[in-house]
Amino acid sequence: MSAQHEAPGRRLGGRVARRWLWALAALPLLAGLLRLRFDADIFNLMPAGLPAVRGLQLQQRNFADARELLVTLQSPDPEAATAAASAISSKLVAEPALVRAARWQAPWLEHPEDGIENLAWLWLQQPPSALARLAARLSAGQLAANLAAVRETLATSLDPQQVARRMYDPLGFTDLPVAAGSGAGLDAGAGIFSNGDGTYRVVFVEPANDRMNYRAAAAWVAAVHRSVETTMAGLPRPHSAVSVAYTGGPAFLAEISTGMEGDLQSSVLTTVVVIAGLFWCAHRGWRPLGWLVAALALTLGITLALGGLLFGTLNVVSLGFAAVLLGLAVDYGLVSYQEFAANPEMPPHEIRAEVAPGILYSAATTAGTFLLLGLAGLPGLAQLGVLTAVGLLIGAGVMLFVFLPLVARRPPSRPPPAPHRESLRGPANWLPTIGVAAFVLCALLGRGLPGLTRSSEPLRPRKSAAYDAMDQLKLEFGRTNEPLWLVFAGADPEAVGRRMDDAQLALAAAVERGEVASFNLPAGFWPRSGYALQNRTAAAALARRRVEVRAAAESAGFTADSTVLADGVLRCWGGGASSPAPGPWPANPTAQWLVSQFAAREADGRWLALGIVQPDPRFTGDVRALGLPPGVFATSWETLGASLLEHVARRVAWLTSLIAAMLLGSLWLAFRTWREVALSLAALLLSFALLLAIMALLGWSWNLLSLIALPLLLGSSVDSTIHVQLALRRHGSDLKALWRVTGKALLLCAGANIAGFGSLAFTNNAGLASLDLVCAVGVACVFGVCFWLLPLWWRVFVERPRPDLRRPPGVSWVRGAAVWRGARGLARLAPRPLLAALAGGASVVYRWARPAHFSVTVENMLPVCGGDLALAKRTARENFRRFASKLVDLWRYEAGALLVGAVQPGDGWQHFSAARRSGRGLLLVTPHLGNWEFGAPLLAEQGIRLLVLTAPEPETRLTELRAAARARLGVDTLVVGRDPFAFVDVIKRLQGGGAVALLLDRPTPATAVGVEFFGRAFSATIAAADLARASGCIVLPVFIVEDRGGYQANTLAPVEYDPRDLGDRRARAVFTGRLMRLFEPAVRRYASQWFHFVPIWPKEVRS
Amino acid sequence: MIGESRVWIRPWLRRAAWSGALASLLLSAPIRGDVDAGAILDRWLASQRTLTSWSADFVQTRHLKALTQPLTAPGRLWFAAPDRFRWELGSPVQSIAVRADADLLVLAPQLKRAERYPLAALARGPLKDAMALLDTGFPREAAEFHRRFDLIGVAETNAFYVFNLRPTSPAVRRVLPRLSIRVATNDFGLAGTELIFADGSRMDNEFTRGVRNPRIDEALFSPRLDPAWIVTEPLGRK
Repeated sequence: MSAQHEAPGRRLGGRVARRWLWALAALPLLAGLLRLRFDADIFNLMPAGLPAVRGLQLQQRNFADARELLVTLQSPDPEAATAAASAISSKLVAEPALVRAARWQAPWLEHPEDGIENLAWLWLQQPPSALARLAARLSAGQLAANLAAVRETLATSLDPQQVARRMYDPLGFTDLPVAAGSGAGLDAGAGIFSNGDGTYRVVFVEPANDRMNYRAAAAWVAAVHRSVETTMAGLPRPHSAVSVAYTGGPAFLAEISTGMEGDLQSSVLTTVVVIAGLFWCAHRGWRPLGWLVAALALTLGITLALGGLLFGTLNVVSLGFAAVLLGLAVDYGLVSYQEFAANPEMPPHEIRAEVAPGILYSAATTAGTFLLLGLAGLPGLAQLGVLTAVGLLIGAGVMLFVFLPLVARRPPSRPPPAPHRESLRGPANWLPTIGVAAFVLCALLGRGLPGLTRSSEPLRPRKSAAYDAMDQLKLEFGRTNEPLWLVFAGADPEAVGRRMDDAQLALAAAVERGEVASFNLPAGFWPRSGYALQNRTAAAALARRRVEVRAAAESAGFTADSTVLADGVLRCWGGGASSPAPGPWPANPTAQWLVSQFAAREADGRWLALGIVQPDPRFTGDVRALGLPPGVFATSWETLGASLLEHVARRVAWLTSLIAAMLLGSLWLAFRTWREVALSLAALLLSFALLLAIMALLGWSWNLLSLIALPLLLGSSVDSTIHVQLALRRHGSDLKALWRVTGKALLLCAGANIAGFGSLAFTNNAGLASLDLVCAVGVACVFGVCFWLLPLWWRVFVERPRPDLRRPPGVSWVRGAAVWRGARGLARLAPRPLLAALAGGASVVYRWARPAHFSVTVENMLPVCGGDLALAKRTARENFRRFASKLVDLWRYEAGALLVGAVQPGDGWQHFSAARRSGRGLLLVTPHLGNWEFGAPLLAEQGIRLLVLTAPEPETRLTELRAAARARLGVDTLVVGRDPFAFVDVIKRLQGGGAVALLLDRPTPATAVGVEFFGRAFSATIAAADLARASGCIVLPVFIVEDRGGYQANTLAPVEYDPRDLGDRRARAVFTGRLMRLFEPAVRRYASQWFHFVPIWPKEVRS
Repeated sequence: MIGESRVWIRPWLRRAAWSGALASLLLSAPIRGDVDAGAILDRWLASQRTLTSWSADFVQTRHLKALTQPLTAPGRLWFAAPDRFRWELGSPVQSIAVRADADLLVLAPQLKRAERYPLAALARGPLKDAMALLDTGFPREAAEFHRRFDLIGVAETNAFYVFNLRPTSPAVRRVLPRLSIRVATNDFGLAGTELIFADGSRMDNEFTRGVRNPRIDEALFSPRLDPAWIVTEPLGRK
């Protein structure tokens, strides 16, 4: 596309279109923010497929006690505790908007009649042989003898429960073969609602909304607090002196989530304050700091919006990405600002060009590392990884394209100090490295590697009123160790029952082996429809003997009270107890409450049952050893940590390999030299070894949460190694400059990160605190190694003089000899359209990958496009595409595959013919416009052997390669600058009537003179004027551009001059300017073929 | 996380409370709250200090709410200072409670079943106040009695002092709101006890043939349980 000036109306239209584009881009972000939700469900952080997680999740979500708030009341006076519990329960029940139910005593005490119905139901669920045995005991032949035996027991038993039971159940109706626990509803509920002496009571409060998020849970718990306090204040002394505490699921949720939220808020605040403080110390300016904070906020906002689009709901723990992101994104801003502060005369795009490679590579590498965390098998970590990765890329863009232009509008507050170069070679360089290595070795050999804590202890708060209340509850109820939950799942109650039966056998065997102390399954209260069907007949027969049984008891001396139970059960069996209930269980309140404790039904219709195992202290924690059948989940908070660790450990090896491979690839892309890649890896290794050594000395160990520090540190470490080494390249290993520019920025970043992480070291969550302590120390280690040791290594291993055969760092890989040779070979074989399409695509990718190059090109195009930035950008984009196409043709040309006739004489060719006829030497001058190399075959057709004066390629091997290719096509090459006497041969060649081609617009430092071009200062080579003065040759401006479907060789009129007028350098400079300006129309017309990817306009000194 | 507490049944707690209260109160002497009672208490305590062992036959009468007539059973009791006892009930013996150094054993000889309760574990549990009764056996200090019992009144009938008491511990009181102990006025020998339970049931023990400081076979406090016995530990371990 040719560059043309656009009408003002069109420019305005472009601006409007751009605004619409921005608005359209903002729409999805807005949608993401609107869609964004937060949750504090810890299970969303864990792999749902892991049995330990699945089981605990089912238990917590489906069974009543995990959803209930437990209000505990303690008083030395049992009556006071009872009165308080009763009053609190009554008050809460009176608030249906707040509480669905509040229970302070066993429901069967409120509804004793339920116990009889439940007992009748339970008997029907027993094996028929059990009912047959009961029937035998009640048979006319055995009834009297059995009653006599009961009287003997009542007279001599020392077992109070046995006495109590037999007093009111002389016929043994409560002797269920399959124990039902409290299912029969016949005990007082000790161990559930109160301790043995009644001085400690529990009120179970069920929220009106049992699907609360963490904020709603916190608000609900606070509302219950207020209600309880009001109630207690209204009680007379000593009832009001009862001590109250809160525990249970909602209390934990409210306490942990609000605590964590507060911790994160204080951490972010601390980080921002520390960043501000450090920034002020370093730069003494609030304005850039304000922009920095705004840029961070923008980054965070966009990332959150994208997080909303991607995930919808973010876990509060995943929100930890914010701290990581701020810590890393601020690096990019500070590095950019520091570069600007050190080079205040540079315009933003040049600063961007300087720092963009480091920032983009480190962002890409770190983002890639975080993305790989998704493979660790922990969804929470994956979400955190994706958010951080997305945020890093956005942060890099925001810092480079928003923050940098904003801060670079004004000069920095502090002028940069003068450059200084230190000489730090020699053995003394190695002393710090040797010292650190010795410290690491001594610490690790002396203390060993830090251990790994497998328990879930890090998941619990260090100080927690809810946990303290739970511990007290355990003590009061005599619980000594953490139970193991068994969750039975099945498509119907029968399937669940079968699993329970199988589990019972396995657990009995585990008891025999000493792995399990006891277990309690709701097998006795689980519906067995098959048994119930078989038992109905026998039960009905017994019911018909109800009067006879009661009479026998009375004649044996038992009162009417003692036969109430038996009479009631028999009445139930006779009165339709066997008729189907609405559900599998009796419908009375006691049964319903009991069922809610151990049975549940999921939304998909699956049935669940809950059992409990008390493991023996010798139990290893490996639930697989219990031999439970499939469909039974055995889990606990204690075993969860170990299961998660095992789950993650299986993935660690290949995840580490993947991360290592990705790191290697990214580092290679960033540096393109193995030495620097190796130095980065060495810095990483030493940083981590140093961290391990410090952890060993301090006696720290890894745990489930602190392990997350590894990827975090990996990300920030890679970042630092890239920044430092690229800065060393930029500053030529000037350590002072490194400190002044990148070092200060990295110190600010490290300080901010250490402060941010360090502030969380005092958080209430033990795991989070350990994570942050490890991160803070790790960041300090990384900074120390990267800034203190890495530059020294770099100077030793990288800065050594290298053979000039190699391509210098920073030069495009396209200009490597090997790549050039390969591309040429490919060009020989592949069809041009295919190659052109590939090259076009590659140019787009390259443009995105190397935004700095694109920015430079845009800047180069600006004067040509009359200062119209939009036009300059479009032209630059086209320029990239054209250059790719040119390369394809050039490779084909050098490979001998360019078709004869591909280049045709174009406008002004008569000037060339006339000059040729004159017999004088011919100096063909041209800018980097189009594909000037293609003029050679055209000249060869005319019998002219052309000499090309060219600057050396970045790699000597490439220079030689290209010279050889030209030679094969009848073109000679003279590399300017290699041989000071070579120009003598050129002059002789011109004086002999030969043809020489010279590029005007890419001078070497020795031949550069300032001219005016497009009204701007420009550097061009004075060599053309020198040669004209020395040889008196014809100076013929030419340019070969792609136009009208092929290459056209255009010639301008020869430039008139008198060699005598070119005596002094000033005159020759003026002549050079004349030559350059002759090309202005052509460059303007074919701006998209004017190939310059390095800055060509001298920098203007900023005021 | 506490769901299992709801399905716990703690029969051992109440059983231990019963046994502890029963054994301790039967073997303990009451005190009086007024001046006379104090003097009587001092004399009784003085006599208790010289008590190293004691044995007696007894007849236990249980007035249970569920039965129209009381139930009686014969039994025998041995005590050795400071805190060991053996309690046998029934003829033939149906139930035995033995307190050795560290355990309370409840035996059912006819069924060859035994339950073992470590006293230390009992004392740590929620009913530690009730369990504390097991630790002392025959208390000899007035302060100790005041800590455990409130004296409601003292009656003197024929040749006996009857101390009407109420346990100070709320936990014990929930099971056993009142009790009385009858001792002989001449030698302060234990003559009988009456325990009144929360549901209105009553248990009387009439001691006869009491022997002060007899020689007691140590084997009585360390019953040998052959392999045929089924021994359980309701506190958890098998």
